[in-house]
Amino acid sequence: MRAARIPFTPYLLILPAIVLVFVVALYPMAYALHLSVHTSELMTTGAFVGLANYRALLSDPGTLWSFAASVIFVAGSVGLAILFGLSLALLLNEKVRFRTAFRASILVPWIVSQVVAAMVWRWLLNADYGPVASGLLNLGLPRLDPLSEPRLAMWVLILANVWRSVAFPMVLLLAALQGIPENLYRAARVDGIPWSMTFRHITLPMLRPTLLVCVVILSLSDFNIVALPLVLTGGGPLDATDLASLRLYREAFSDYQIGTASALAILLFLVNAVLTAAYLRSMRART
Amino acid sequence: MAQIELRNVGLRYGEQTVLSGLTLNVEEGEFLTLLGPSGCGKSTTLNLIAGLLEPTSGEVLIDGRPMAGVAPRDRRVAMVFQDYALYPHMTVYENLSFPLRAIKLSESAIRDKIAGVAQALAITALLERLPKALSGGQRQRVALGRALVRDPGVFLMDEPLSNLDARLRVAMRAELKRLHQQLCTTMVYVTHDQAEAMTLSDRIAVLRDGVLQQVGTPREIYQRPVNQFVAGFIGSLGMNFLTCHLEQDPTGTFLRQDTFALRVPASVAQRLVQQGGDFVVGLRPEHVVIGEGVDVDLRANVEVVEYLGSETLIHLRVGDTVLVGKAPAETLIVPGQHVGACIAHASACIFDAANGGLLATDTDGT
Ligand SMILES: Nc1ncnc2c1ncn2[C@@H]1O[C@H](COP(=O)(O)OP(=O)(O)OP(=O)(O)O)[C@@H](O)[C@H]1O
Ligand SMILES: [Mg+2]
Repeated sequence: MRAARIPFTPYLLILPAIVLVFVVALYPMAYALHLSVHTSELMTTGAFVGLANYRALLSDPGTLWSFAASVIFVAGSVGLAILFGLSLALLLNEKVRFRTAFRASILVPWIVSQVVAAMVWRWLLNADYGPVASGLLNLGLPRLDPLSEPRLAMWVLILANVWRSVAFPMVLLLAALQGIPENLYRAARVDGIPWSMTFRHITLPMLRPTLLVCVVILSLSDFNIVALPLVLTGGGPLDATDLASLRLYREAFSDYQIGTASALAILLFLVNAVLTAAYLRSMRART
Repeated sequence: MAQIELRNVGLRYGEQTVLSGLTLNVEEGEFLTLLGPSGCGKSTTLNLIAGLLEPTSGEVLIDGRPMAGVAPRDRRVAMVFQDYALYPHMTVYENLSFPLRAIKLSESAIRDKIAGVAQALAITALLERLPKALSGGQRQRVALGRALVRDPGVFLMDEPLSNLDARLRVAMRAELKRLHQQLCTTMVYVTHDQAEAMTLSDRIAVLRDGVLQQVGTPREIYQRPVNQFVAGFIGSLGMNFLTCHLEQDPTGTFLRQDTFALRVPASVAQRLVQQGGDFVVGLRPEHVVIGEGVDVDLRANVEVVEYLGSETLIHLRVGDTVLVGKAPAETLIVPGQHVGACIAHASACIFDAANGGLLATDTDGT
């Protein structure tokens, strides 16, 4: 009797976890897949239409631009966040003064909500009463309204996002820097290796696994970002910052096009899946 | 080749003094070992010579040139670190070539140089491997190789053998000795293993808590340790210490504790009487020979018997101390037995019980 009961116990124990994963992850995904092949009629699921939603999406230049905008946004955000994050980590790894206060001040943007961050940037860059615009005016420079300038809006969005997320690569890279054995640098100094060579041939290779992890995690979160662009630019001006994630949000929650939104969600999911696979690979390479 | 001079060197971290008043000369081509317990400042001394640290007082000279403000790379020193500090993401070849690429040597010159060093160290077959795919002994040879390719004036080695198992350590010890004889490069070697220091060095400098205790050849340090600390640190078993008081009777002067007595020659006796107080007699285990015979100096109970194969160590109870002596391997002594022991009087050291300083070694009467 006892022997027969044992095989069930492990399954019983992981049952809650399985149920949870099913309820919050697998079921919604399957449901989204289901929705994406049906029409949507005001909060109810309509008729089966096969891949029509996908076809409509992919033949709409707006969607294609959304994905292009997302790629520009992610590439710019991730590149700059890692560049600044690495610079800050290198700086903080030295024994600079006010190190703790400095580190805390960089962490602040990370913990404020995206909505608050967006509001702060809107206020900063407001053409009529924002400090940046009035500062420029006082210097005799022309009025600046980057948020209504299609070419500048994307840069503002990227900068705001970098400002918000730079703490993440900084913290990770700082930890990685501190994990590099001090003796490697001592050996390099005794051997007369110049600073630039030390950085290129010792520091960067030692940081490589962490850099990879940063790239993938930041890309994942930037691809799915909604609140920051929604509040900061709303996708405008003239769709200049209409990211795929933002478009998905709009299709679903302001246009109630649940079918198209679901199809878009599935496409985004594929991008995420690729990034996650890359993440898992980089983690494996690390060990 | 280079000659190194430390003049009254001190180093402090805030309130904490790590080294003080260290004066030491390393001659050209000499193999000098810094020996001492953990935390006594050995690595610190090495870092001061390499220029990785600057002294807070005193100065370091290499070939007579003051080194204050001279960068490590300009000191012509090569260092082997305790953990080898091999670059983990570079192959052995890349590790060896890295210092050479920094001085912009041509690729073909680098290749020739590495080929030569790799041959000498028998690591030619390992050149394409990463450090993590090497054994401890192989890593150690690669670390040595990285120092060798640079033709430095001085080798600094920080406990390079401490990560190896006992057998490999003995093999690498001989290897190092051979290498030094071949290159004749000045060598400053750090270890806390007295056997390594004894076998490798031309001279040994013993450090304790950042203060130099004694510098001398292994023989000098073994036979005439300047104080109880050095005496206890050198020698695989350390020295036996017996606290004794001075006793004079018509037959002569003795240092006595319980059943133990050491006859002191007249010349020494006079100084000890003048000094007064208690004394510590130091005896190495090999100078306490267990066995019966006509000239037995001491009889005592056996507490512990340690069979070593080549010989047997016998722990004797003498008053409130334990005296370790040696007996031939084949003796059949058991704990509890009452045995006799012969003391090699001529080899005993007499220390001041108050400060541990050496007062006399019995023979020389100084
Ligand atoms: N950066 C530092 N700040 C304060 N104290 C330090 C610092 N570096 C070393 N010390 C102290 O200096 C003393 C000597 O250190 P050192 O590394 O020279 O010892 P060591 O003789 O090499 O010991 P070991 O055999 O364990 O390597 C130690 O007591 C250590 O705590
Ligand atoms: Mg050390």
